[in-house]
Amino acid sequence: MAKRRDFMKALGLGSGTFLMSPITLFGNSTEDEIQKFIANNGKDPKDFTIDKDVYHKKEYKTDILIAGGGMAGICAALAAARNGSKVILMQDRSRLGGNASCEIRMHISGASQLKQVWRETGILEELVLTEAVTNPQRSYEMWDYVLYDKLVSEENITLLLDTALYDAEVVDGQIKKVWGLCSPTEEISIITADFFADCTGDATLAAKAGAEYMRGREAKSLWGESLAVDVADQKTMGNSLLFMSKKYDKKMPFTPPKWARKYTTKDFIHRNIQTYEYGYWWLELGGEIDIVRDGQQNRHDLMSVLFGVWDYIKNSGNHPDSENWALSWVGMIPGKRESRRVVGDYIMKQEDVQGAKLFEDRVAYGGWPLDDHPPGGMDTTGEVPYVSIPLKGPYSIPFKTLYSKNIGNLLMAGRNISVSHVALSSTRVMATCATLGQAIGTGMFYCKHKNLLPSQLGNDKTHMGNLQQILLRQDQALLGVANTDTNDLAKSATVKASSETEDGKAANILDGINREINDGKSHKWCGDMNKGKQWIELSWKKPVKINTVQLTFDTGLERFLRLSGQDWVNDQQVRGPQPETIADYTIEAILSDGKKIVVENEFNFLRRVEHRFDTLEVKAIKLNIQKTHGDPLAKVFEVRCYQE
Amino acid sequence: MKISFGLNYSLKFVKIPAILAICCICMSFIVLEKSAKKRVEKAFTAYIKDSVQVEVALMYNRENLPDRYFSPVVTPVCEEGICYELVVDVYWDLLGNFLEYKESKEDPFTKFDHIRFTASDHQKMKDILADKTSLLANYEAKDLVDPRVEIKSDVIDGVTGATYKSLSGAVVKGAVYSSHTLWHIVNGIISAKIFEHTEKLLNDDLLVQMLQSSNYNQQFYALNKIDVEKKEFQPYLFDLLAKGESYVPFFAIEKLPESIWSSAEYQERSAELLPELEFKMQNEVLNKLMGKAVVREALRSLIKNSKGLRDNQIEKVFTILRENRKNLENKEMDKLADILYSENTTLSKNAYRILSEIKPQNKKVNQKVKSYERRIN
Repeated sequence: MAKRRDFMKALGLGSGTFLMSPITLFGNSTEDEIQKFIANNGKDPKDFTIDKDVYHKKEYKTDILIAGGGMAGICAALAAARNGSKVILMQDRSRLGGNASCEIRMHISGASQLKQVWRETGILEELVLTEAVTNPQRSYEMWDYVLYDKLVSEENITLLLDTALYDAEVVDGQIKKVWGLCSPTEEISIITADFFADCTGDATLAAKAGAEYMRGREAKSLWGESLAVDVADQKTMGNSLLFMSKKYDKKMPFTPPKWARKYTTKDFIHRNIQTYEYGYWWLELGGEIDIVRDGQQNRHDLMSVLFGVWDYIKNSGNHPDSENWALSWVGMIPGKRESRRVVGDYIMKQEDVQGAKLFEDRVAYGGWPLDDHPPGGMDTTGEVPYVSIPLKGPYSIPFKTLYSKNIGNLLMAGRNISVSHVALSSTRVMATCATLGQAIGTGMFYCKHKNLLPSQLGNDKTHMGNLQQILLRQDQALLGVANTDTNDLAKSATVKASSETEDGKAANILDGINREINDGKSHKWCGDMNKGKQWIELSWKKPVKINTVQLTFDTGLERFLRLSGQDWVNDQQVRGPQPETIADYTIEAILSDGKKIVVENEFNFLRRVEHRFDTLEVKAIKLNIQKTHGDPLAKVFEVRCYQE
Repeated sequence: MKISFGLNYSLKFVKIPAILAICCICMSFIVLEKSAKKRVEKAFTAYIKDSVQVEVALMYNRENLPDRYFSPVVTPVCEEGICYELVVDVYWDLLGNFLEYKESKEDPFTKFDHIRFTASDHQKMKDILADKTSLLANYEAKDLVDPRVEIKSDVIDGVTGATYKSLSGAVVKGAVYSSHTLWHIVNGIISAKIFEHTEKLLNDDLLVQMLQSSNYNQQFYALNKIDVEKKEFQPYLFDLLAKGESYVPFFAIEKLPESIWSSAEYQERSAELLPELEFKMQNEVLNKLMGKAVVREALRSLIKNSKGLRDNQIEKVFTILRENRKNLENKEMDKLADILYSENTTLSKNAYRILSEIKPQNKKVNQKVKSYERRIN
């Protein structure tokens, strides 16, 4: 078996080459060519034998094991790996993205809902910007491949797909090993790691390891939450099963299965059916059962709901314009909102969300409303399907909610963090979960690097300040943290530009704030492209050595940006490069003996771009803007310079 | 609202208007009784803001059945050390839902800087108070105000903050604290006590009155309370199909026992009622009649009323007619033959189809069918 894997690796599967050019490798290669390729790579054809071992055991040792390849797990893996940690990402499905994947198809919601300036930045922003450019066809499967490409492109990440975590060994309050089972390859993975991240959503790893966790709804009296229930119970928000449909040029009759539920107009009093192409988040059930253990029944019940609703649309007579519409995709995996919540050093509550408390150990933020769903779902159609309390602004999320209070090396990101049921109704959405992933991925790297446990990091102001600066440099979505990085040489530079606007002064790129924060200031330089190509220059009194320049551009964070099957969600977005973003530019080093172009970049569409080059002693560096993606202003939030 | 100054509102100060209010309410009961001869009686006493006493009265209608609740409220509203006195008469329905308020002529509602409420401010306030799911239920008044933005008063010695933009829709602009205070008075303990009080008074007459009211909360409550197997309630329930407010008709039709759709009386009534129903309720009725043995009179009404229906509904009507073709006699055939002349081709095609299938032994009808065939060929 191991030899077969080596063979696959030699073909480039491990590096992602297989996916990038499958025709060359398999479609066009003859048997002779493959044999020759094997021989050249030191393999003997007789090594290629059938392994008769069923459920072969394979041991791994790594810095960080991340269980769960949803948005939280993906961002955790990328953050940790890019900082230098060895990461194994274990995902129980063939596809990445969890609730956002093409298997479930929920769009990624977050602080954009505030309709201010708060779209999440960082790794998530990189992912959605990439997807908007590379997937204009809005193919859900291609979104999954954007995620796949990002992960397999990182050398430090080993991706174990189709591998379900099923056991953990805990010694002296810390996880030592976990076991995962891959059915398609009949393989058991045994993974030893220094840090473990539970991004499973259900907190499977935490529960298996004996971490303290919460379930259900806490009573008002416990933490004084006005939105909590009067008496504590084990109920949760339900799961949703989604569908997509298409319009055809002829009538498309529909006969429901016998087990489909029957609905009438009264069932849709609180549930709008306005469009047919994608729906509906309120196809929700399961809050009154064991949302984990009763999953099989819940899936069936949700399908009976889904087909029942489609039957109502097609056959009640109330939606005559649906006659040419037919289902094109029906989900088989319900999307979960809530299950276990692991107890950390701090439990976030309603007041933390509503009051927007600025935690000292903040490492991410949320901005979705307090949006609780009654557990009955489609069993209680006489009730409203959600109670949503809008927020005045974004709120910070502390690191102390992202690690277990009793399992020393266990962290979590996603819906399973240390929050009350009421707070979860806001933190549960995927954009927030993704930023939590980046926070713990970076946090685990930091812990490994400094030989700390997460609780030591969470309770130490200096270390936490350091972590926040790393996160900020890597564009994490943070509140109230400015760039105080003493290694950033740009901070000692003087800045001038070809032109500037009243609220877009050149000096803004050094104000330490890399985005708009709703304070009436732009925090960016704006150069007028109508006056010709624009430039901004940083110069030093004495020459400095640099080899890294990091740029932060404008990507229209006041807008939504997320793949959705729902047309109106899509209509509010710019699918493609964001018009504000600078597309073509060069970076010019001004040396004591002349000038040198060190960076030439065309068709940039990212917000944060880091350029590395051979160390130069420069008097100044100049960013020359040739083109934006349509905006008449050249907009730059921040320039950082390093010698690393 | 008066503006007075000072932080400490003593309990004694609060009690004076409360006593006055009790006197007023007693006087008003007497006046009301004399003028309109409608009964008004004290329902209960409640305490808002822990200490402010309010008296709540139940007002009866001319039939001497409970009609609505009323309370003259006098309460302090304090913000940033400045206190106002809020004087207002509040009315609730029998279930504790806000109906309306009347401000005091001597002490009208004002906003920041002593500016009087406009008509649209009052409408906004009424909309806010009627929304039981308002975010005001779960926000402290101080949390609605952004302390970073200060608005200085030209009239009083004070400043206030601006409401956060994302929350501003939940309050009357410039009257954050009044909005918050009044919402909690209207939708707080008094509302819950009214509901309890009404439940104690419940009987069949009151339930029928609620079904016949124009208040959808009361209609909805009553239709879920009545014993639908009791025949005396069924006509009232059926009336809600056309007269029910908001979404009530759709729940009413589900509450009607399945047996009524097989009764000649209700088949006739529902087929006759079709033009008065809204589109979705028409579909509900047609769906109920599909698959049933439908009497001749009802079929005749369906044919008559099919002209006002949409194409997909016409298909449903003709499905019902085909299912019950043995109940169609000469009179109905003749009506169907008339439809052959309709400009609506869905109607004419369906009429032709059913007449071709039935092959009626009626000379006049057959002539019309032949004429139709000549026309389309």
